Amino acid sequence: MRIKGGLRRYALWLGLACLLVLGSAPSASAGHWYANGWRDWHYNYPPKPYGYNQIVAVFGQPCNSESRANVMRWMAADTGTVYNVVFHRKLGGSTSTNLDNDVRGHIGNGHMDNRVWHGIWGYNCRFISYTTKYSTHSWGIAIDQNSAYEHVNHYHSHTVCTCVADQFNNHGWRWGINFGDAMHFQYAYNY
Amino acid sequence: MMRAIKRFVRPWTALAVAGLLAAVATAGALVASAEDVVPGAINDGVAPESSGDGETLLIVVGGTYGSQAEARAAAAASAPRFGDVQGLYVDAAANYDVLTTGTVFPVGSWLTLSGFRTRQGVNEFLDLAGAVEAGPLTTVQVVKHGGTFIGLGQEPSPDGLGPLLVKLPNQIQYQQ
Repeated sequence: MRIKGGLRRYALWLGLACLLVLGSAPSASAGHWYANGWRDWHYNYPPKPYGYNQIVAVFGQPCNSESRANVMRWMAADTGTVYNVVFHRKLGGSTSTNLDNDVRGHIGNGHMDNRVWHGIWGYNCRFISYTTKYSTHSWGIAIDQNSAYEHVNHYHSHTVCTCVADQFNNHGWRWGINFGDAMHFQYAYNY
Repeated sequence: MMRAIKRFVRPWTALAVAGLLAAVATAGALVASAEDVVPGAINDGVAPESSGDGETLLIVVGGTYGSQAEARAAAAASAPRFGDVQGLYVDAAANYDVLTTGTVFPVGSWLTLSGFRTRQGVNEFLDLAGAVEAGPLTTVQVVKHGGTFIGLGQEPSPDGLGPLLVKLPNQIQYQQ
């Protein structure tokens, strides 16, 4: 009889332990985009352009209609403001997985959304400040983040996490911190 | 005799046709490469400055100021908001005939502004200004007379192929 009672207690504790493990499993994976089916596809990335002529060869003229063909929503962690980030057709949507799936997915999957703060934008037909040279934003191949906290002409960052920058770098983007613009990422080199 | 002529003519005809085709192909390639290298008037990403003198434009105004120095200081103060891209320019209000009902610039005042030929250009700039929290802006339709460069060229051309660098034939229709 003692053995039977011991077995019952053992079975009860084992069952409770199993329930505890099973119950905690969803919370442990909560927030992981991977658990919701996200994958890093690396599908159909456009070639990385070097300099103006290659940018035009790959993405067309500045401010052309393809430059603003895609849009994704991105919420700033600090203010809750939701931005419509507009970008080039060749970097996302049904054409490629580069920006809206792969870069964005890595940031979400890696719990780095809390490092993306307000002042987020992509395409705009605009010159580089104090020049008449088109910014890479004019092709929809640049993203600014945390722009409310960062300054240009400083080769350091106040708020942009290198963890976020790494996700851009790993997918063909260049971080502007190398040319004094820490809020800026662009899919182009030598421009 | 005929055979001899044919023997002579055939190779030369073939050569002539081949030469003609090569010349056409070369000319075509040259035209294509010229179009690739010189897209419109943009040179290595740099747009020509267009003053907009005499044109009906839409201007997005950041503020009116009593002096040029004040306006320049205001434009410089707002520039960091725009980060790496161009913010507002400075010009004398006297250079503009205002068409928008109810808008009057004080005599002798100076403006911080950015100019556009189309409503789409205005809307895109306002989107940017909203994203970077550049403060309240007012859009005014004007006719420009002289004055400085106010950033024309920073908007898409209605054909969708690139930036709008020149006056449109029916520009006012694009400002509705």
